[in-house]
Amino acid sequence: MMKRQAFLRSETRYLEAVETMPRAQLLVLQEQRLLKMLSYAYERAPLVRRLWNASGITPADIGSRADFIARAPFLTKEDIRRQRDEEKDAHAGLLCLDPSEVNWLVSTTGTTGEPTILSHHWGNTGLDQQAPGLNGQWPPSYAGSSPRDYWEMGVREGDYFLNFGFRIRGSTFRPAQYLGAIPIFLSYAPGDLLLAMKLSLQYRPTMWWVMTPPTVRALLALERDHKIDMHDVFSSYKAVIFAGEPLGPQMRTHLERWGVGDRIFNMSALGDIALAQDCRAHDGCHAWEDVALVELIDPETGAVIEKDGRGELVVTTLVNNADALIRFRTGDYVDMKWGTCACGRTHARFQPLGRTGDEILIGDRSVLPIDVWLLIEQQPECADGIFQMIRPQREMQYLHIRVGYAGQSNLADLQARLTTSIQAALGLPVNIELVPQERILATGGHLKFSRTVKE
Amino acid sequence: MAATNTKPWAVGLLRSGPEAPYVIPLGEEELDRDAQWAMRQFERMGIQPGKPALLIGSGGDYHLLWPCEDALTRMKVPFGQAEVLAADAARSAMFLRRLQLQAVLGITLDILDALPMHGLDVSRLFANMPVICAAPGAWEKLRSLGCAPWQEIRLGPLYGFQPPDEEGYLYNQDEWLLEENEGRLLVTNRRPRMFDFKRMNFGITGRLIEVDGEKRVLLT
Ligand SMILES: [Zn+2]
Repeated sequence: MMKRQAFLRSETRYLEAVETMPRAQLLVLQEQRLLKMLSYAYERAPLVRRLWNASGITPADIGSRADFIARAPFLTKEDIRRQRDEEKDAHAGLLCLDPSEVNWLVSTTGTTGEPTILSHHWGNTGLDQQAPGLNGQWPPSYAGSSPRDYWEMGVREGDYFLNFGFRIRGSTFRPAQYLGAIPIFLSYAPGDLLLAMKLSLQYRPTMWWVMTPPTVRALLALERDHKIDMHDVFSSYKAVIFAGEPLGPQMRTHLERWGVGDRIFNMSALGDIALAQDCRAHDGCHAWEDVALVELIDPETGAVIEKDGRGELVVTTLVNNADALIRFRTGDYVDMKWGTCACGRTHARFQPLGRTGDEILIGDRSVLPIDVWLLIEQQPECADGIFQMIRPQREMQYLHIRVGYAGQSNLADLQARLTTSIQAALGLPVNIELVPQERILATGGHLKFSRTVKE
Repeated sequence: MAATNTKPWAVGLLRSGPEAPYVIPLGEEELDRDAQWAMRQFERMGIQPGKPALLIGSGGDYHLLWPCEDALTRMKVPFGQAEVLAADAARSAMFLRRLQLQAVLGITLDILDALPMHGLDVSRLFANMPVICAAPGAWEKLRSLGCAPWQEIRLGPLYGFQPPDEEGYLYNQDEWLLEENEGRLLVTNRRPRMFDFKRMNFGITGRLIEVDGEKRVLLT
């Protein structure tokens, strides 16, 4: 079982020195880990070897981080799917260990298709990287950098941690226990929310893991039907981790009304390599660059974008000895910032904007669901932000948006209001299709529905 | 109700019994003993190191699931995780389709009924599954398909496992005292736990039987 750590008594701002390591030094550390990882993965992972051989290079040709960025081939979801199906290999040619050595077979949410298996191994035997913060007690890669995020959010020894999450990516309460926090086990199910309220008042937890849009909607119903004082319920929370989708402005107003507006921390997957979470500066989810080499590219041309801005997130694991995601194109469209954060950390951070497959081009204008989100939520009947962009192909003549409404409404009037507001804001033609919001919600799973659909 | 003043390792919830839900603090040592017992049951089921298994369960049941996860890890069994509801059946289906699983543990009727929608031939799939441990409902369905699954039930705060084609649920007798009382089974912890169960009635109607010198629970 887990040993209590010496740092638990300290009150330093940062959990690990690497968080604020000068950028130049961080890149040297990254390069050392990268070069070791490349030869390790090339030797062991058939898909990596196949892609690299097809590009005519081997790890011996890569002497630096710059070489890697200039020459290494990308790994796409399509490459993974093809290898998995054609070779009948559940691990899609990425596994660097014998299958018998794997500890945890976790999986992606599966919102955009069949969930993908991700493998983890306790410790990182064979690769021998210094995994961040951890001691071989759990997968160093996926959850390994979460304790530093939780520490930043204020989780301390003896705190209670409300574990209201999906059981698909390992035992997600373990990073909190690493800090000495005590998880309260609940199921991610609406039926457990009343219990979550009760236990919040009884145990006064400091972290809610995790809040999602369907959960906020369910809490609003409980507040209304049971007259619960949400301000009291949330008064002890130092952090409410928000995941699944970007937090829309309307939903944020509810959380602000409950008194936790300034304690919402967004969480995003760092391309299936790790989790990335906001710091107290709330300027994007920190992509820990000692865990992953993070790149931003133009999704169309594949050109590397070195300055701040929008693009596709590309990640390379530096510590996972089980699954070799090397230069993996995540398909996640993000807004990236590279400079030192206001929190003092030197690692990149990003805002998730959507999927690269969500982007619609009208002429040379790029539009993502997030660009119309606020405009839709501003209409009272659409305050829940339930909508889908209809995207039969990337290039469109006009925006076609299916918008869900709640309750009774004058539909002609609502349609006119939405059309006027979106056309005025974006300067683009728009076709609004109104449906009861339940119809859109019913198309999704328990975590989220697709924000873009073909028809 | 905590037996000691030490901080718990986690806090779980029991959802059955007259005053349910019970909020139960969990200690590290008791969970360790639970994991050791789970290991012995998994070995008895025939689960072997190095071959993948699927452990289906929900986060709210971690007071029972963590010892199982811990046991599989100690046994060096790679395992996948999936939720119990039909809404998450795609995940179980994916593990079942992609991996040569040696065991499916905790399968529910919800998941079983949803698997055909994800393109799986349930009869064929489970006919070749070396170890199945099913929740009530799924167990009957799998039996009707000709499989011989183990069955898992909750006896309040503990698991009971019934071997295929045998009568009675095995339980951790070192840890728990079960007593018959007017057709009900009362639950007491024999060893210190952070939450003391003293002849607690979880509404389990049954009696105790002995099979090969081993106590088992027979539901009536
Ligand atoms: Zn920061």
